[in-house]
Amino acid sequence: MKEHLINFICRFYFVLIMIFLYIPIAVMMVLSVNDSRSRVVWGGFTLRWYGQLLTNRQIREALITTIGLAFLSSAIALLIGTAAAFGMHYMNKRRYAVMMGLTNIPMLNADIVTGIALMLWFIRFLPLGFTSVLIAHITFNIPYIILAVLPKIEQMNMSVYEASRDLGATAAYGFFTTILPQLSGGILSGFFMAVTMSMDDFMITYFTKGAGVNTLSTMIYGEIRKGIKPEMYALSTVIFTAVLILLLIVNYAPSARERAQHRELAEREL
Amino acid sequence: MDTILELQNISKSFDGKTIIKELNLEIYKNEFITLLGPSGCGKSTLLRIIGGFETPDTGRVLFDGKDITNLSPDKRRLHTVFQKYSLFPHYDVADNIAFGLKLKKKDKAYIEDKVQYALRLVNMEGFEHRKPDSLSGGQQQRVAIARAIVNEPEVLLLDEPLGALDLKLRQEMQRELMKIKKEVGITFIYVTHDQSEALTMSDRIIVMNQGIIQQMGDPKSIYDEPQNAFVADFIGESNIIDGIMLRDYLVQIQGVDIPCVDIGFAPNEKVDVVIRPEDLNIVEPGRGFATGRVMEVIYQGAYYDIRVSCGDFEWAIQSNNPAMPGSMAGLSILPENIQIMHKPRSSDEEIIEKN
Amino acid sequence: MNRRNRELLASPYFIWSVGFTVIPLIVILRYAFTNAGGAFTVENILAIGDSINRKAFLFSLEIALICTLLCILLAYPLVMVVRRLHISRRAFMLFFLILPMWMNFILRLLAWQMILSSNGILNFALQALGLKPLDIANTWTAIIIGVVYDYFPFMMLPIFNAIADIPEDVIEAAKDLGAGPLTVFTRIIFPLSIPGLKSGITIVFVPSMTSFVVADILGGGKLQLIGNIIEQEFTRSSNWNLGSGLSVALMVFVFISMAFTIKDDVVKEDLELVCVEGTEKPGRRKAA
Repeated sequence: MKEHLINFICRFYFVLIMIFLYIPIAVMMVLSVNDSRSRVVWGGFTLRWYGQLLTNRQIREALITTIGLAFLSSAIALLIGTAAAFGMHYMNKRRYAVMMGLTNIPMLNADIVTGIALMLWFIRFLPLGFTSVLIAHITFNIPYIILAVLPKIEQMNMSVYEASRDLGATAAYGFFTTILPQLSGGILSGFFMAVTMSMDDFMITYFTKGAGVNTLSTMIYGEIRKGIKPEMYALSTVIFTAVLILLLIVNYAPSARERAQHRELAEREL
Repeated sequence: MDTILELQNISKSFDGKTIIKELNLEIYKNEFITLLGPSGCGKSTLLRIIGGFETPDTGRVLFDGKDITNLSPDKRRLHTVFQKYSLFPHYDVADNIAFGLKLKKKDKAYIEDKVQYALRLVNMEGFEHRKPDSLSGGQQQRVAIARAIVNEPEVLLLDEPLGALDLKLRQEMQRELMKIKKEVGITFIYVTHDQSEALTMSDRIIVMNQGIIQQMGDPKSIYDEPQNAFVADFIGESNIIDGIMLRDYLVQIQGVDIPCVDIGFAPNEKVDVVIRPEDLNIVEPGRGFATGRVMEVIYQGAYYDIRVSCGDFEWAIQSNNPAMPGSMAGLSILPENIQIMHKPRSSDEEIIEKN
Repeated sequence: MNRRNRELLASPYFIWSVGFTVIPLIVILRYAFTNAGGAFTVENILAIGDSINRKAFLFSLEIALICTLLCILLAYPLVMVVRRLHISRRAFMLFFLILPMWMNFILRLLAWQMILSSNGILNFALQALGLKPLDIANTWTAIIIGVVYDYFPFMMLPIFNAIADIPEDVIEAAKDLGAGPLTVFTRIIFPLSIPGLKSGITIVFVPSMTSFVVADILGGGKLQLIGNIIEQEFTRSSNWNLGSGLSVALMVFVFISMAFTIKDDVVKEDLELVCVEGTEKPGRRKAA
C-alpha cells in the first residue's frame, strides 16, 4: 500500500515537471500553425509559415550561420581541446592548476562579461563579423571539450597502447587503434555539448557579432519589439522535431544494447 | 540446536528466469554456514532475500520464529558484509564503523569504545581517520566487517567478502574470519563459489545449483560422500565415470568388475562412479582395475598431477611419485574410496549430464 | 615522445587562452580603470554602489539566489524519482527532461510571456477551473519562472550524475545498518551528491544574475537586472568605461562567491594528497 502511494507521488511529480518543461514547447508548436501574425489571436490552422520558411532568405542565412558556426567552432575546439587535455594529463600539479584555472575562467565568468571583454579586444584589430563570433565560440567551447575528454584520459588504460607498440604498431597506428577508441565517448559528448552550447548562445554572440551577421538567437532578439515572424515558430518546431528524432535514434540504439546487457547480467545473477 | 533463521518454500525469479526454486532451509544459532555454488546458482539471491534486499515470490523467512519476509533491511537484526566492501566514501574509517550505532542514538563514549573494540577485532587500530579510498582491498573489507559486527547483529551475512582479494590475502582473511567468528559467537552465513574456502571455514555447507539445494552437511561429508555428480564435480576434482551396479558390493566400470562398499541399488542399475584423484594409485601396467597410457605429468609442489588415458576416459590422479609420460600405467583403488551415485533424475540435472 | 613533448600538446590551447581569455580580461580591466579621457580612475568600479546600479545588483542577487534555491529544491526530488527507475529507462527519461533545451531559449521565454500574460493560457486555465486569475506578467514572479525554467536542467544533470555514480551496494549497506529512506538520503545520497550540487550552483547562479534577456521579455522592461544595466551602457549610453567597470565589479563578485563554493573542495583534495600515498594527482578528480 505504502509502496503504491510512493509510486503515485513519484509519477505525479514527474508528470508535473514534464508539463512545466513542455508547455512552452507546445505553445510554440501551436503558434507555428496559427494563421495569424498576432500571438494572441487564433486565426485557424495553416502550414503556410512552413512553406515561407523555405523562401525567407533572412531566416535561411541565420540558420546557416547558426549551424555552420556551431559545427565549425566545435570542430576546431575539439582539435585544440583534445590536444590540450593530453598535454594537461602529463603536466605537473602546478602547471595543471594554471591550465585548469584558464579553463575555468570562461566557464565561471558571466557570459555578458566574456562577451564584452572579447568585443573590446576584437575591435582593436578585427572587424566584428563571422570571424570574431567564430573565435568567441571556439573560446567558450574548448573548456567543454577539455572537461569531457580529460576524465576519459585519466581512466584510460595505457597498457593497451603499450601492448600495441610491443606488437609492432607505430605510434600513430597505436594511437588511432587503441587510445582514440577509449576516448571516443568523451570526445563525442564534449562535441555534442559544444554544439548545443554554441547553438543556444545568445549573449556572447550578441556582443561580438557586429552588424551584418545574425544567428537565430540574435535575430529573434532583434524581432521581439517588432513582433516575431511566425516563420520563426515554424523553424523552431522543425529544429526541435529534427533533434528529437535524431536523439531518439541515437538514444534508442544504446538503450537496447543496455537492456540486452542487463538481461545477461540478471542471468548471471551478479 | 536452536534455530535462528528458517527459510520456508522460497522461490524467486527475475524476468521469468527461475533463480531459486521452492527452497527450505534451517539455520542454527552460532553456526558458520556456507552457501556454495557456481555463479548463477541462486546463492547471492538467497542471501539478499535473508538481508531484505529482495522479496521472494513465494515462501517465508522466519527470524527467531517471527515472519520477517516483508520487513525492510533497516529493521532486521542482521547485517551484511558486501563483496565490494561498500564503505561510505565520504566518511572516514571510524565514522563508517560508527554509522549504525549513531543511528541507534548511542552515547558518544559508548560509540567510541565500540569502534575501538571493532578496530582491534579486525586488526585495524590506528586507521580511524583514514578515508576508505586510501585503504587496500583487504583493509577495506576489514572495515566493512567491523562496521557490521559493531552493531552486534545476531546473524552476519557475508556475500563473497573475499572474492576481490588475491589468494594469499584471502587465506589470511579466512583465518581471521574464523577467529572473529569465535570471538563474537554469532551466526555467520557465508556465500562463496570457492570450494576450498567453504571446506576450510564452515561448520555446515549448503551446495546449491540452479536454485536447488544439491546437498548439505559438514565439510567432510560433502567432500567424502558427494550425493550426486554435480556436487562431486564441484567440490574438489573428481573422476566421474559411467558404471553399472551389478549387485551389492560390485560395480562394473569400462567392462571391469570392481569390488566396492555400496549397497541398496537396483541390480544392473546405471550409476555414476566418483573417484577422487588422490585415492587412485599408480601400479604396474596390467595390474589394478585399469591400464592406460600416461598422457601428462605436472608437478604441483606437494604432489604430481597425472593424466592416464584408458579407452575413452581420462583419469586424473594425484600421486606422490612421478610417472613417465608416454609409458603405460595401471590404476588401483581401495573399495571404500569408490563412491557410487544414482544417475540424476530431474531435468536440470540431466542438463549437467549432457554436458 | 617524452613527457616534456607531450605537455607541449597543450600549447595551442595555452596560446589561445592567453589571446582570447586573458588579454580580453586585461582590456576590460583597462577600460574599467580609466575614464573617457584615458586617465586612471576607480569611479567606474565604485559606480556599482550608485542607487540605480546597486538596486539592480541586489535585485539580480536576490533573483539568482531564489532561482538557484528553487532549482535545487525541484531537482532533488526529480533526481530521486528518476533514480528509482530501472537503468534502461533512466536514460530515456533524462532525455525527455533535457530535450526542451533544444527549442531556442528566447522563443521559450516568449512562450512563457504568453502563458503568463493577463489574458494568457494560465489565467484562461485558472478561470476555467473557477479560480481567480493571477497577475504575474511583468513581475518578479515571471522573471523567476523564466530563469528557473531556463536553468533547471543545468542543475538537475550534474546532481543526477553524482547520484547515479553512487554504487547501489553502498546504499544497501546503509539500509542494512539500520538507515531508513530519509536517513539514507541525508547521510549518504545528499553528501555524495555535493560535488554535483556545486557544479550545478556554479552553472546556474551566474547566468541567472545576468540574463538580461529574461528580464527584458518577462520583466516587461520595468525590472532591471545588473545585466540590463551593463548592456545599456554599451548599446545605448555608449559609456564603455562605466559598462566595463560594472562588468569588472560583477566579475569580482562572481569569482569571490565561486571561490567560496569550490574552495573547501580544493582544500580537502590537498589533504587527501597527504594521506594517499602513490596517488599522483588526486586534485584531478575535481576536473571530472
